[in-house]
Amino acid sequence: MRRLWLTLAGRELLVRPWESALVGMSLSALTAVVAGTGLLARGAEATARAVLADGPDIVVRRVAPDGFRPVPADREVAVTGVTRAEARVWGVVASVAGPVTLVGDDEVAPGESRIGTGVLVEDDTLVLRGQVDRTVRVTGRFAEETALVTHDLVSLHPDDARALLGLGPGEASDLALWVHFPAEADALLPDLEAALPWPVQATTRERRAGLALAAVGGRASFQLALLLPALLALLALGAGAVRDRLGRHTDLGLLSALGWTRNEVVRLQVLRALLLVMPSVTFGVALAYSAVHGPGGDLVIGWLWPLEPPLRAALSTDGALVVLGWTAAFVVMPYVAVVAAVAALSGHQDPVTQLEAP
Amino acid sequence: MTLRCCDVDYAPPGTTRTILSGVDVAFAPGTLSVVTGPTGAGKTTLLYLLAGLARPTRGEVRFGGAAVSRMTQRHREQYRRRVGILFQTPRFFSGLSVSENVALPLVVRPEIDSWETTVAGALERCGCRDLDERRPNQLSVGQRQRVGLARALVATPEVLLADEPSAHQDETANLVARLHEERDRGAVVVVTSHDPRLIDGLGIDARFRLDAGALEPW
Repeated sequence: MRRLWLTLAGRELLVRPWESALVGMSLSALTAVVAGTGLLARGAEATARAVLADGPDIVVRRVAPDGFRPVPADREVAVTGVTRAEARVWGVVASVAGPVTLVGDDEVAPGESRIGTGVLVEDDTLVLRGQVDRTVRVTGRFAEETALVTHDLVSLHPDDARALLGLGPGEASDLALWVHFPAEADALLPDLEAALPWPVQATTRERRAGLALAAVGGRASFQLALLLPALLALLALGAGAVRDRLGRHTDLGLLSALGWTRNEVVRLQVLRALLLVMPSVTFGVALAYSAVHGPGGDLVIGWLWPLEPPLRAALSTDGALVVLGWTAAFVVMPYVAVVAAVAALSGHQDPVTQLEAP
Repeated sequence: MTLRCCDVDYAPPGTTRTILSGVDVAFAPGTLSVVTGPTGAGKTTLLYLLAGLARPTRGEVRFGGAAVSRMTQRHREQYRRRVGILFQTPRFFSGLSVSENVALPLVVRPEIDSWETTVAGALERCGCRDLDERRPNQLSVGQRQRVGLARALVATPEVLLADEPSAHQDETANLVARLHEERDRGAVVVVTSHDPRLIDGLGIDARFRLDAGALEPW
C-alpha cells in the first residue's frame, strides 16, 4: 500500500512534468543561493576566529601624535599576568605588482624570502621597495590552503625586514603578549599602559576579533539582502502551489467521493510536495557546498574578492552542517506547510462543490 | 442498514433553485432500486445526497440510525468509505493507470493486504481485466464506465450508487449481473437510469420516478 501512496504522489508530479521540473529547479536555485551565502559568511567567520585563536592575547603598539612608533625589541613587560612577550617586525611595503605585507621571521635566511600565493615574482626574485630597495630570492611559498591569511604575505629575515620598514637595529613594530587568563586580558590594559614608558595602544584578541568579524560581516551582509528576495520567491512558489491545488478541486472532490478523508488528502499532497522539494533542496545544498567549499569555491571567492592572482578558497567548514540544515528547513518547511494548508482548507467544502467545480 | 431520505429538500449552495423537494424514501439492504426520470430531474443530485457528498437544505439522509447529513466531517468521511459510487461520466486521474485508478478506494484502507489481487478481481468481474495497464485517456466512454463500476465495487461497499450505468454500454448483461451480485450479498443498490434495456432486464425490487424534484413510487 505504501508503494501505491508513493506511486500516486509521484504520478501526480508527472502529470505536468515541465511544471514540476521548473518548480524543482526554482527550489534548488533558491536553496543554493541561501545556503551558499550562509556557508560563505559562516566559513569566513570561522576562519577568522581560527586565525585569531592562534595569535597573541594582546598586541601593544607605541603611539605618537603623528602615528605609530617603533618599540624596543628587547623590552620586558613586567606586568603580573603576562606570561610571554614577543617583539614583532612587520609592515607594508611596495613590490613590483603592488603592496605586500612584510613580516620578520627568524627562520628565513638573510637575502631570502617566503611568499604567499598572491605575490607576483619573476625568476624567483622579488624586488621590494620600502625605506630602502632590496632584492631577495624566493625560497619558499606558503601553502595554498592558508591563502586567506597569507595571500599577500612576504616573510623575510628580521634584519632585511627592519631595513625595508625603516626600523633601527633592536627595534620592532609592536609587542605581542600572551597572558595567563586570556578571558581577563581587558583587565590588564591599565597596568600595561602604566608599566610602559610611552603612550601605547593595546588591543585584546576579542577586540581584534570584533574588527575582523565586522569586516567579514560587511562582506557577507549581502546574505541578508538576499534573504528578502529568497523569501518572496518561496512565497511565489507557495502561491503557485495554491493556484495548482485550487485549479484541481475536481481531483480533491473525486478522492473524497472515493472514501478519502481530509487528512489522507492532505497526506497525499504533503507526500507529493516532499517528493518534489527534498531532491531539489538536496541538490541545492550540494551545489552551495561545492560552490563555497568545493571546486566552485575559487570562482565564488574570486567574485567576492577580485585579486590577481586569485585568492584560493580555503574557508573553515566548521558549522557548515548547521547552516545547511537551517537552509533546508527554511525552504522545505514553508513550502510543505503551504501545500498542506491549502489541501486542508479545500477539504472544508462539500465534495459535490469540488466535483462540480469548472 | 437502510438508507433513507427523510423529507429532503436540496438547493445548490448559494442558490434558491430547489432541485429536490420533499423527497421521502427508504432503500433497504439487499434490494436493488431504480430511480428514473427525465434529464435534469435531480437524479444525480439524489445520489450525491445519498453518498454524503452533499448536504440537504432541509430534512436529513439517514443510514441505519445515524443522520449522515448531520454528522461531523470525520464521521461523514467514515460513512463515505462504506459507499461505492459510479458517476455518469466517470472521472479518473490521468497520470495513473486503470488498475491504479481502481485501487484508489483501497489506498486508504490499510486492512487490505493485496490491492493488486483485489483490483484485478474487480476488473475481471466488470469485463475490463485487459485494460489494467492503460491510461484513462486510452479508454472509450463505455470502457470508462466499466472501469468506473470496478472502482465502485472494489472495496465491497455497503451502499452502491450507480448513475446511468448503461448510458454508453452496448450490452447490459455484465452490468446487470454485477448489480445483482451486490444486492445478493446484502448491499443497498440504487441505480438511476432512463434506459429501458436496463430497467426491463434488471429484476428491480423498487422503482421510483423523479420529476420536477419530487420522488414518487412508479
